[in-house]
Amino acid sequence: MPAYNAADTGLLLSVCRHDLGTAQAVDGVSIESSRWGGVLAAALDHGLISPLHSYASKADGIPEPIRDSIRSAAFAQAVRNFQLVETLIEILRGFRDCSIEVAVIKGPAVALIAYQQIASREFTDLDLFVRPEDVSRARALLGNIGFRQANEDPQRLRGEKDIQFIRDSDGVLVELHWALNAPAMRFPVERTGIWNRLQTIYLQNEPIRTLALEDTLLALCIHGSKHGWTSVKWLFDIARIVKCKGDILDWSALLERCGTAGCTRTLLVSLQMAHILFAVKLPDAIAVRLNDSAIMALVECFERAVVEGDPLGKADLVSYHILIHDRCWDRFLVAYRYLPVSRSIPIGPLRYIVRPLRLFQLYHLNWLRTVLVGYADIPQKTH
Amino acid sequence: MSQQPRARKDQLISEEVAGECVVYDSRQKKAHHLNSTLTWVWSRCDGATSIDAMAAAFERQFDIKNGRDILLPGLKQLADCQLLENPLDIPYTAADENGISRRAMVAGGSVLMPAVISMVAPTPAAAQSDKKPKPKIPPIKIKI
Repeated sequence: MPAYNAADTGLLLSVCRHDLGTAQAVDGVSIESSRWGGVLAAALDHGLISPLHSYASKADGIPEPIRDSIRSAAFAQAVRNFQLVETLIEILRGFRDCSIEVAVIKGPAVALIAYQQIASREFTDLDLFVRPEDVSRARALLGNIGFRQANEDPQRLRGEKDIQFIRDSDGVLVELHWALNAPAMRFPVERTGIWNRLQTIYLQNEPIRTLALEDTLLALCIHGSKHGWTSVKWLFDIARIVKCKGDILDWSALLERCGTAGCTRTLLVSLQMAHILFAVKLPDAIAVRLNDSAIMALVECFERAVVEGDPLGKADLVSYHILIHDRCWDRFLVAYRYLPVSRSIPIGPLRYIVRPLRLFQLYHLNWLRTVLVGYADIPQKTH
Repeated sequence: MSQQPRARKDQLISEEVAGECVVYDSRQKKAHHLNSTLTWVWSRCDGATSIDAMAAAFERQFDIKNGRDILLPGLKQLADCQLLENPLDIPYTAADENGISRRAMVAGGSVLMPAVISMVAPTPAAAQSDKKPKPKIPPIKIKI
């Protein structure tokens, strides 16, 4: 894959704006048609081959070999997605037969919600969301249809939110989630009642359950933030939802849920990024909240990282993960998670200081939450 | 032999992308990429429209004459890919080995030639994990 630079990324963003209908012309196309190789590389890297293919099928001035490569890449993506969808349908039938409630999240669901097509949005695995109490049964079911657990480390399950499964016969990767975010991330969106708001969409005439539109948007914002927006497709997903579904989206309900889960900043930063990069118009309810210097500082930092193709360094990302939270308490706990603590167990009186710190890093105050509100982040009997 | 071709639906996943159709046949584990002409032809195979009616519609749609000369090779390609439910009584003598007759070339020019690219679909394994985002900071594991 040839390398690409910031100018190529800029051209790709321009193509995406054209595809989205927020810009009439693609900047710079007639000037530097030799740059299309770099644009193709950027599109492949950021999972945005679909808008590029859509543009290339109509535009002049794109070298024929590059056009063919774009077409082939879009074809390959579509076929891969269809294969995953075939497996997904097989899995969902199994869940239905076992009466396990399951929601499809991320990849295929976002493809249908934001793009109205399976082929148009790149995804490489299948993400299933089950209730914590159904994890054991879901694991057994996946085992019955040929999947094995990809990560055998039981330690990981304690503080995480999903288990990865792989099927050796076809290499399909499934992530079984019982929470949308790891407890350490401090975004407990499940507590806003997402299970009560699931919607039904149709995948090849099969009804599937997925997150409500507002919850899908919020999950995308949190997911992209977590990974430091290293893939522009996550922002393009957000831009597409705002552009295509903004009118039917309940923005006030979304903001209320963000307030409950402490992720209003995450939402606002993500939406502002989508606005800057893809020129989507944000609703007034959101626009009025963007006059916040802290939010704009976070946006600026990421805008530079995305446009210049220079992902945030470790320290910047840690800082972002802390500052993206609304509440001081959450910021403190996230910051605390990142504090380096010696792995060796000290001998002597110091042990009685270090040990509680380690326990706290592992469990936070989950035990207290369990006592007070009867909620546990950790599914029972997962290992 | 049916002269009202019907597109196969069973065990197929298909979508139109930028005017061209991508089809995944889960029965044969094959993928097909139909060009815009063949996509048009396949979308008209509803089991109720005769080949003659389809040819007439094709001529109107693309403003050409002898639409049948393009349509028949296209239908043959669809039949060869097992994308039609019923076998067709197509005068194969009109087509060359690739299913494209010289008359068809004259009728539609190269732009309108029906074409399909077929491939045995690889497993999705190659697509895994290399594109999957990895958190920059690994989760902290602490021994108690």
